[in-house]
Amino acid sequence: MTDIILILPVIFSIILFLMKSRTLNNLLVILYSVIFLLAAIFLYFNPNSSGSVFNNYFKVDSLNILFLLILAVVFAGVALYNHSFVKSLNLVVSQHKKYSIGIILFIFSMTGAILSNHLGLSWVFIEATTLASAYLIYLPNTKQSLEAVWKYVFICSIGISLAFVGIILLLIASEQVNSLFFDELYINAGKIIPFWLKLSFIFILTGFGTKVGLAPVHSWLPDAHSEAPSPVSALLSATLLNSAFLVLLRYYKLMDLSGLSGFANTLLTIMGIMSISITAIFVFNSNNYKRMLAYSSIENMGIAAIGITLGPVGIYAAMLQLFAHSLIKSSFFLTAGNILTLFETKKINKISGLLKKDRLTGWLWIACFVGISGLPPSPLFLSKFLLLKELFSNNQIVFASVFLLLLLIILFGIGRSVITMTFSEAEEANRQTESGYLYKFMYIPQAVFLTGAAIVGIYTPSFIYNLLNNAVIGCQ
Amino acid sequence: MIDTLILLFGLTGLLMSIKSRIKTIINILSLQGVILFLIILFSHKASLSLSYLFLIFETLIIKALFIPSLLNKILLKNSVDRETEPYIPNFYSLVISSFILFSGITISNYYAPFSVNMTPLFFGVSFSAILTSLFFITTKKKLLTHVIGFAMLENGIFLFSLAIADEMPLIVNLGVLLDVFIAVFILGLLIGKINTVFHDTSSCTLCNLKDCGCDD
Amino acid sequence: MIEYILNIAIISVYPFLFIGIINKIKAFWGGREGASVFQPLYDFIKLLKKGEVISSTTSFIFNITPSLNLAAVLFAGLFVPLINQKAIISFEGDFILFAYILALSRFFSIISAMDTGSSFEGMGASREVSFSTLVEPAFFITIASIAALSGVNSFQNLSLILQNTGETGYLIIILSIVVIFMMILVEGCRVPVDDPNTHLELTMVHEVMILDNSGPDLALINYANSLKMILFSSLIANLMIPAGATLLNASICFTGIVLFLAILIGTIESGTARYRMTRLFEFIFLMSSVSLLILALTMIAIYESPVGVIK
Repeated sequence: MTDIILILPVIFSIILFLMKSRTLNNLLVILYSVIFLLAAIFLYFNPNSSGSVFNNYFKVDSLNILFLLILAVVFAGVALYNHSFVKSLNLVVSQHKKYSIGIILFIFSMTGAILSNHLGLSWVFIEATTLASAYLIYLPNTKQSLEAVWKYVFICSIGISLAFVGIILLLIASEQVNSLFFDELYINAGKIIPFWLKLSFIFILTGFGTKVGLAPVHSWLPDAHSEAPSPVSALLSATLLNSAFLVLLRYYKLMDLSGLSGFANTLLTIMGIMSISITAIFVFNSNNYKRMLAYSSIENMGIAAIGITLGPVGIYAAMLQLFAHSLIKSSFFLTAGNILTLFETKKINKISGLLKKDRLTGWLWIACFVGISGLPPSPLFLSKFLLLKELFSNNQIVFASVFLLLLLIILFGIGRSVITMTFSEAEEANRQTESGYLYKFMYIPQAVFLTGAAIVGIYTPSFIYNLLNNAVIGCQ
Repeated sequence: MIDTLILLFGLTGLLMSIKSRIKTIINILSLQGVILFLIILFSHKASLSLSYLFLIFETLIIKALFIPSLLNKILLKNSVDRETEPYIPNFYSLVISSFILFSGITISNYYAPFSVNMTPLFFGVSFSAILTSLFFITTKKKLLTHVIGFAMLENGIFLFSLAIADEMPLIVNLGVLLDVFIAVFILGLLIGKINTVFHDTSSCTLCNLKDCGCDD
Repeated sequence: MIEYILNIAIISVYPFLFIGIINKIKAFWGGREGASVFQPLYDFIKLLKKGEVISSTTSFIFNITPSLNLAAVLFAGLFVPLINQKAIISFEGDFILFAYILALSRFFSIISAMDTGSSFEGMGASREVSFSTLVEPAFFITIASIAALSGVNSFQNLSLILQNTGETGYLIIILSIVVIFMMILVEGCRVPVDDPNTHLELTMVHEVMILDNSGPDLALINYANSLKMILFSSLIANLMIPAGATLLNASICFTGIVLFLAILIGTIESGTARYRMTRLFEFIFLMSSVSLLILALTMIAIYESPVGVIK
């Protein structure tokens, strides 16, 4: 079954490369997303059927089935949105072809990174995500997007090279073990030399942390996520950060098994709180709503990083955080795409009276804001609550207060912009301009995601609870 | 013999920080490739195995010839001003890189537990090459020098990965692949586009996306 | 006994020949016949016979400096091993005394230059000061490292380094030779640090400091300068000549090495221009960087083989 998920995108992209048909482009992307979703659900119920041609390199266990399902669900929604979105872009057939191939290869590389059981292979796939998504970010073909893609490729490549140094240091540390398979490393965790392992963790945290978007190596994130077309932004923010986070999570488990969890916790906490502070500073005065959303992604990744340092309850909170963040942030970015189509500007102070212009988009925008800021019924409320409970029970009162204060600042910053955009009176200039047409499919995915998130926030269905729980157990 | 070559590699890192003509820096990059080729020649027994041939190909052809020639082509086509523009004067950059080199070798001599494969000189020089190239990237203004610094980073990582080449040749090949991919991608595609789009050399190239609340 | 006679001969004759050979090589590269190799000796004798012109704005420092200069260099030369690796006086830590005696001579030449009250000489003095400031760490780190490796903290057993260390010893010696050679260029005021043939005062460094000296004082200053170069060259020679060589072999090698260095300096002078000031500071600091590298290698060598080596 894992074979199908891995080989199918390659076949599809080759077909798309050879043919030149617009309908085929759309069809294959949606077909891929549907098959992917079905395969992921199948793998959830039958995890043992994941024996494949590639033997040990790809494996589905309780930790990455969660991330795989998140990827599948988000991709399904984004593919539907994308189907209508490309109509507004007016692409030439060859550009459309390259765009679709780009999306398929991007999802393929993320799948590989999630499913891989070998550290070196994960590294290769994370590197491949950078290269695959570079073309997608450059699609608007403007000066800003060129600058964004340059920063993205360059900074992420430096990060990946540093992660490679970390892998080499791990190999020096684990001389007798001499293998990069995660399960073999876990079994032999006692034989790894602590000094080298610590040094290796620093490099791997810096390297993969660049892809996750933790401060201080986050500088590519606001540019890349804001300049990409909206479905691509949604994918970048909701799924790519997760895939890199998974690799960090597996490495954290290795550190835990070797007894160095104190060292790892310190580093992760520092980077987490720095991420949240950076967001609090920059989201306040931002004039570009997509940039604001990108900074919010940095904040959520920081919260997840702090979460995994706090023991099993913290890891549960982090998993819930990642799950909810993927759903809500993807709807946020897709709705931002709607706004861009309607107003044709990315600046907050030029947009007003969203509710009057298009009622449904306005309410979706508000609903996304309620979701991302952690107001109930959003599941982010549950995750942050659990995190704070853990912090208080560990007697880290000062840290928890700083944490709360920063979250408050972020809530105010985002809320001010969102509410100004939505509830204000429409200005004269806006009423006259001709706006783009919003197809039906540009509302449905967001609505489904938000409803699903709200349901999880109010009453977690048992299968989601089991899913998250097993992921936590898989991380112990 | 290997120690001499590693020392020469470390000295090229120092030289990079004082030279200010871009052409000279590209030549030093090519020299680094040749030194890596000689290190492989002297440290492994010559054989016709695929991984050995691949390493020879990678160092001699790609690192020493292909990447510098690509950089030279870009330099000829796009640059008006062929000097590196550093944010800090070359003198202080030399001071900092020599301290990085010195502390790298000394710390690795006294503090790190070692095995048979790696001498302190090896570890110190490769580690400090990585740090020096990161420093090089962050203190220069031009985009082409950023790419050159990245190529230096790749050379340093390659040297570092030679330490474990015996047990896991796969890793060295992975690093090589990274080098090739990034070289082709960054150098070939993007820089050509950037230099055609951003014509004005007087203003800052990468400063369009900003976070101020200004209304531009 | 015979070594002392040879050492005195070296101190008296070699400086003139050194400069003479450098000039001859420069003439060769310039396609000219050039002056005779003994020309500096003839100049020295000519200057000794001349009278002196002393400016009325100077004080007693201007009078005593040339003699003090020569006396300091001769005194420093007592510590440097010339032929057969034996210095006339040697004790532990003598290289520190060597460095500071030379610094004393440099200090006096600088204040004598400023004593004349001419702004050109002041400018030359400030440049000279900055060069020697940057050279000093290089000198100390290099000499201290190789002295520590030789077993005794002095110039004495430089040729015994190779017996105590392995392959790292060769690297250290080669790097030290490079550093000391660059020091010859700085101390002897040669290209690329300072052009001795320039006649524009704005581009001079050392020459401008001795603009006002004349007659026997000028002769003494020139002689002291070239003697400094010979002392450093003999350091290089003692690093290269192995320990147990016979007197004949050692003297032939010594002469050969000094000759080779003179030819090398002449070639560099013909082939390079003086570096511009900012680049020059980087060049001089490069010596300190390489000497830091020597220090790191020395620590590796000491760490590896603690037997018979003073830590």
